[in-house]
Amino acid sequence: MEGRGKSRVEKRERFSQEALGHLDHLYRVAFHLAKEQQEARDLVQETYARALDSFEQFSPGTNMKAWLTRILYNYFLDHYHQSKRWVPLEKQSSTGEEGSDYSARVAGDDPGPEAHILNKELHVKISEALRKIPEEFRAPIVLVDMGELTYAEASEALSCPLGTIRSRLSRGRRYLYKHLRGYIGVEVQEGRKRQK
Amino acid sequence: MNCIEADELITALVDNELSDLERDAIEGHVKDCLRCEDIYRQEQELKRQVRLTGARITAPSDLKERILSDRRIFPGVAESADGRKGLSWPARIVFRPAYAFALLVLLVLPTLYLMWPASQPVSMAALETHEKILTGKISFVRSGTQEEVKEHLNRSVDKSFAPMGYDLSRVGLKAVGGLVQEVGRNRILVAVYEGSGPSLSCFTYLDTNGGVPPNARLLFDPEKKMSFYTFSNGQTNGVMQQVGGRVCILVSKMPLQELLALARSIATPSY
Repeated sequence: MEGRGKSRVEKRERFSQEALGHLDHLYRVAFHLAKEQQEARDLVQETYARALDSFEQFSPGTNMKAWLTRILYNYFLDHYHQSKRWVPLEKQSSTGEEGSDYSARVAGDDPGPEAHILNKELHVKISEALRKIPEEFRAPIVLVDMGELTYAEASEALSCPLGTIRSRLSRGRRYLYKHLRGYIGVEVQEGRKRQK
Repeated sequence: MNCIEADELITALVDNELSDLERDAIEGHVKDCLRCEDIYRQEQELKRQVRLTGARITAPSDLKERILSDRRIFPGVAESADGRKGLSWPARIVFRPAYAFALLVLLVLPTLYLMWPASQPVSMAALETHEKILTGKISFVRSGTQEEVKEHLNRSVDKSFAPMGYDLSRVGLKAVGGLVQEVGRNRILVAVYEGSGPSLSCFTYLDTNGGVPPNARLLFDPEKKMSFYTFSNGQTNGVMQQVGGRVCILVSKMPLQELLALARSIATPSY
């Protein structure tokens, strides 16, 4: 009996240590979901507490990163729905137009790089731009592009069909690109095409 | 295949999430379509830059400490197998020199960091401190229970005075930690409350003059025979009251009237 108890403690300890290996990933996700840094920290800490509460439900050999991300995201949603404390960032500058077509509003949003501080680093711009797009599009980008989750893992973490992940990623990247127009440049291939 | 149909397949091509059949179809389209080729290259570059941005964001070092010292996650840290299990929280810390040193550093560093110029009114510094706590610019020592928060703060000023130690559970808040702040000659005990509503910081210090901000509004509660001062900075509100030789300031982003009602309900007259 005692041996079984000890084994459970050891198993739990091993699980905790392994879970800690995903700390940066979880913080990265929380950082882009929560409103403030402190909330991101709380979100990650609570994720670990919840994960450890139910660590026996985790099947060894499956993807712990996706499993932890799912706990974090569910906690974020629960907390948001319960207390509204974690407000998705796009609501911060709500103008009452949330129901209107987001794409149309984004198109005229950015006055171009000239209007911005020139020395602002690109990664800061990307983080800012991510915070401007709706959470339903932001989450898949954070999980797939930053967290390097597959569509199947992101689908599990966000509890939505795989096709939804693909379509939200597609639309989310378009929105993001519009916010970053002038910062992320791709050489136009027109000349090459015309020569064909 | 038209370009609208191609959009999602381009995304999946960038992410290497296509079947062979889909890959052949979209690669053929991208090769022949200038618009879709540009979109493909844009998405590739965007994904690369987003990944690089993510790689630069790492968890703050104190977050790992917080998790390691959270007894819900690592009970073994607090309950070692060598007979110290039944000891109280302060006693366990005494037995752990590294932990005690870390705690000392955590207590001393915020104290030094939070030394404000003497000209700064305590009330205004309190609003600013609360904002910094919310945004993570100021870290604080997390404790397990309300009593531990109170004891920890009390010990940090050599038990010369105690924080107010309010129980705010009825408004869904509980004390989660604290820090010591210095404003001029005042040592201020800050208890941090978190829960289902906006976070709240309770500042307690010794002062018979109060340090009332010049633009504060005064409200006299005839029932309790106590004066309450309210003041704000942006969305951050403060309510100050004096209880005997101690001054208490509650600071929160909850609406001012709500904060005032809370302060009045928990205040105990000193007579």
